[in-house]
Formats: sequence, C-alpha cells, structure tokens
Amino acid sequence: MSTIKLETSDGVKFTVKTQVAKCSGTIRTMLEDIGINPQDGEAIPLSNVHSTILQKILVWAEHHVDDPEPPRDDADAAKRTDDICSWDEDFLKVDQRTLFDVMLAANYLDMKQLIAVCCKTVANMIKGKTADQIRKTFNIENDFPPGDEDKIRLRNQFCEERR
Amino acid sequence: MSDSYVSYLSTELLCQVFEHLNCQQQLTAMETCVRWAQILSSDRYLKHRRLCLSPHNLSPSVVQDLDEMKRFRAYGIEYSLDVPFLWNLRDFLFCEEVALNVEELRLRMSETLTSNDKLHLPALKEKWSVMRSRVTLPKLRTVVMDDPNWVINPIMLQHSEQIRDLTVRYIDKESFVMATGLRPFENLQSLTVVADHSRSFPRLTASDLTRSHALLFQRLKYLKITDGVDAFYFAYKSIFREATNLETLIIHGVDMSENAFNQIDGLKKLKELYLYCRIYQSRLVRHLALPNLQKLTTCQQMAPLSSTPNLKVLHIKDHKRLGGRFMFGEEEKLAGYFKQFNQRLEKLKLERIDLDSTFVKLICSLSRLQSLEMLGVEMEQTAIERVFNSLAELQMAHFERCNLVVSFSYAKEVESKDEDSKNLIGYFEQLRRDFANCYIVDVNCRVIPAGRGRFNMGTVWTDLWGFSVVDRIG
Repeated sequence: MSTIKLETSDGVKFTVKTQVAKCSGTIRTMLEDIGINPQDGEAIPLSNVHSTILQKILVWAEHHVDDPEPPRDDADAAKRTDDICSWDEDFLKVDQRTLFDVMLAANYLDMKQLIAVCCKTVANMIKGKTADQIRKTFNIENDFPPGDEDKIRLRNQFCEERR
Repeated sequence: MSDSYVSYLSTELLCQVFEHLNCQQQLTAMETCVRWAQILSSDRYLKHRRLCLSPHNLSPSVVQDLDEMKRFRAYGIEYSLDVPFLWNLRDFLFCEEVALNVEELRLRMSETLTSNDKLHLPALKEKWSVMRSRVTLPKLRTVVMDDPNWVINPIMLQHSEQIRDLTVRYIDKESFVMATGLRPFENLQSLTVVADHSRSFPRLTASDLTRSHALLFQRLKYLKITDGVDAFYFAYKSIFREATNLETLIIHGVDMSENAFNQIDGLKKLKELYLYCRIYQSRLVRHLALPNLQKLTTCQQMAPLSSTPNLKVLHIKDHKRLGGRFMFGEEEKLAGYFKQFNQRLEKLKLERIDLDSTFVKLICSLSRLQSLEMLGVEMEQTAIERVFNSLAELQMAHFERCNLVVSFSYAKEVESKDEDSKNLIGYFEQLRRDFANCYIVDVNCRVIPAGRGRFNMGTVWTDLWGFSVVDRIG
C-alpha cells in the first residue's frame, strides 16, 4: 500500500497511507492536480497544522476512510444535529481548545465530513442555552455597548421564521 | 479572562455552525456578543426572518432601533384598531428603505376572533383609510392574510397584480370569495388556503365561484388547501377542473368525493401531488395517468394510479389497515402499485405504518431505490436485513422512531431497557459494517417483543395511530 509523508508546523513528519491522506481535499488536490509526486520521499508541508492535532485528525480519517459519500440533496438532513455517530461523539469529547483546533485544521485540510461533525457538536453546545449560558460555555465576553443588548432582545422578541 | 477558543473560528465556519440552529436558537445566539450579533443579522439570515410590527415595538415610547427594523424583507402586521399605531405603521412601511425592499407582508389574525368581529368590519375599513395612499411596494410578491377581514386593505388591492404568492385563511364563505375574487391577481402563481375555523359553514360550493375565480385557478402553478373543517368538499371538483396548469397540488383535508378525485386526472402538468384525505371510492374511481408526476405523497389510502412514468419519489403516510389486515382489494392494489415503479422509484419514505411481510416483499422489489426513510414504522427486525440484501443500489437509509419487533423468546433475553438499547446500537453498528455502501442513520428506534403493539391497543398502537386528522394539520 502506498504511503506519503506529511510535515506539520512544528516539524514532525508523519508517514500516512495515501488513501487516508486523501480524506483531505487539500492533499488530494496537491497529489492529483498539482502533481506532487509522493514517491520522491519528500514530505508535504502542512504549515497550519500542529502535530498533536494532525495525529488526532489522522485517527479520525483512518476510522472513516471507507465511508461512502453521504447523499447531499436533503436540506433537512443537513440541518439536523442528532445524527452524530457514537464513535465521532467519543472522538470529539475533548477540551474546547482541541475541538476548535481540529475544526480549523479540518477546514485547512478541506475535510467536509469532519467539519460537519465538528459544527454539529458545537451547535449542540449552543442549543437549549440562554445567551448568558452560551457566553459561559465558550468564555465569550459580553461586549455590547450599554442598551444594545436590550434593543436586540426587543427586536428578536418580534422575529419569527419565514418559510 | 482566559481565551475564548470559539473566537478563532472564521466567519464562514461560525456560519456553518449557525446553519445547524433553528431560527429561535439563532436569535438567542445573537444576544451573546457583538460579533455573533453582526453575523446573525446579516442578510444571509435576515431573509429567513419576519419581523412582526405591533403597538409593542412600533411606538415612540419604546426604545427601538428603527434602522435595524427597516432592514427586514418580510413583516407581520398585528391586527389593531389603534389609530396612533396605524400612523406609525404607515410611516414605517411607506418610508423609502422599507417600501422599496419589502417582499412579504403578513396581515395577522386578531387572537380572539368571534362571530362578533364582523361588527368591526366597517370600523376597520374606516381606520385603514389611514393606509390609503399612493405608495408603491415594487418588490412585494407574497401576501399572507391570516384574517380575511383585511381583504379590504388598500395595500393588497393596489398591489394585486404583482402578487405571486397569496395565502388566505378561510373563515367564512363570503370573505373567501371576496378575497380571491375581488381583484384579478394577474401574476398569481401560488395560492394557499387554510380552513381551520369553526365558522366555515356553510361550505363553499361550485356556484360560489365566479369567472374571476376560474381565471385565478387557471393561472396557478401551486395550490395548497389545508382544510380541517371540510369546507371545500363541494368545491374541489370545480377547482380541479379549472386549475389545469398546476404543478403542485397539496390537499390536507378531511374528505374528498370520488368525482373530485377523478378530476385530478385532468391535471396533466402535475409534478407533485400530496393527498391527505379520505376518498370515497367505488368501482368508478379513475386511476390517475399523470405523465409528469415526480413526487407522490399518499396518506391513509393509496391513490390509485394507472400510469406515472416519471415518478421517482413516493411517500406513504398513515396507511391504515383495519385490524392490521388489508382491506378488500388493497393488497392487490399495493402490488400493482409497486409493480409500476419497481424499475424507477429512487426514493421511498414510509411514515407511521406497520409493515407486514407483503409490504416488505414489495419494497424489496424496488430495484433502483437509492434512498429509504422510515419514520414511526413498525416491522420485524429481520425485515431490515431482507431489504438491504435486496436493494443493491441503496445509498441512504434512515430509521427514526421505528419499532423493531423481535420474537418473544429473544425479547426476554433483552428484557431490561438498558440491554435493549445496547443491543440495538450493536445491531445498527453491525448493519453499517455489513452494508458499508449505504449511509445508515438510526434515531430513537426501539426493540419490542412480538405480540406487543400491533394487536394490542396498548401504548405502541396509540403512538402510531393516536392522533386525530385535525391534530396533524400544520
């Protein structure tokens, strides 16, 4: 089985099965379109990804390497967040720093499925909470100028979904 | 304060997170911080919201941000006879920013509508004269009239020729006839009627509909009638006779006569048909030949079909069988049904049905099926494997709130609830391994022992069939 080398921002080199590395759209493009030849033995530099995060992402990619492409036509199915498989749920039971680092790296590496499952996880952390509880959960500072929050709240009271 | 890691996300990634929130959750998230408020009030989100204007938020005494309120494209207007409010409303709606951009107006029903409300009609007419002015709302396309007393409102009358999408509530015959017949609505494409008010009698009849109604129905591409009080029983036939340009027909009603149903056969342009009503059938019922039909939803009974060469999506909902048995002729009809599509159907959705072995066999015959969705379906657990083994092209399967019936002895082994769910998780994991080409999702399914449910009028039965028709109208 063919392998390629990846080099992270902190200079750590990983040897990865090509098939697993191709879970990343970015790497796939480099190999297929730009024509970087993995046989050269030279590592592909991933200057935005730290080794601890890449290691984690490779675990995910290894597990999901044989996943079929999910159908993308259903808008409702894309919106739901209660369909995270239990393996992914355990995989993302990490501190927030790691969660958001994984998300940023997945974005850089163009891994749509991983981004989606991260987004669902974060959305689940928002759901069912008040604004105050959301701020506490994510350590967000309330930076509204005085009075603005009340204005938004008043306006929102009269908002409804337009179908 | 320690770091807020979420703030490292780009706007695009945050948006991807917010896409998973419903409207209410997005509004709450807006109240968190300036950045989230800015993102969530951008046009991308604003266009999916409607702002309700009422004396509570449109009055000089309230601290408000009119500039932000004017950025909306859709407004609800509360029923009010309060003249100062109507003046404020006028100033708001008729100012340039709003008038030039508003796309949708929803005139809301007063919360308590009694038979005495008729008395208010002249009063309201007089008060609405406040709104009589030569305003033009060039982008107005959608008008929702929860309360047909607003029919006389001048905005509607002035813009009738540019409205594409109209929703009216059927409160009584006169106001419905007036709302839809008073102006020609030259560009109307979509009409939605909601009849849910107890004052709907006497029912609408064919003779109530004028030439101008006929022209209106002829123009429609989309018609949806949600009728919980059977107000349209006598009118369906003449509506269907005129509405020959319909591409989508949705009837969520109580009863439909056979004559009316037969008229649907004349709607040859239909692409989507949704029927949720009892159809009185005898031997004279016509089997529909709809050459363009792509999507069919049929509830309670199977709508008889003769030829639908383009049908790709079938949704069967609340298919009732007395005592769990097929009614006379039903089984044959079902088999005939599936025979028609078995080479073509791509998507099947089953909702609140109990599947017996005949039905399962028919599903297995749909060789081109790509997507299977089951909601609140009760079936034997082994049926699932049979389906997967038969349908080679299946790409997606979704099971939600399904009851998987297992043999009694096996059920004893998994008696406790914990064991049950553990077993089920294992079961779906195994399925995902065995049928790796298919994307399988399971949500809130449970195992029940055979004999519980189907023939018991116990909890399961009530779960499946315990709603009345009116409850489901939504």
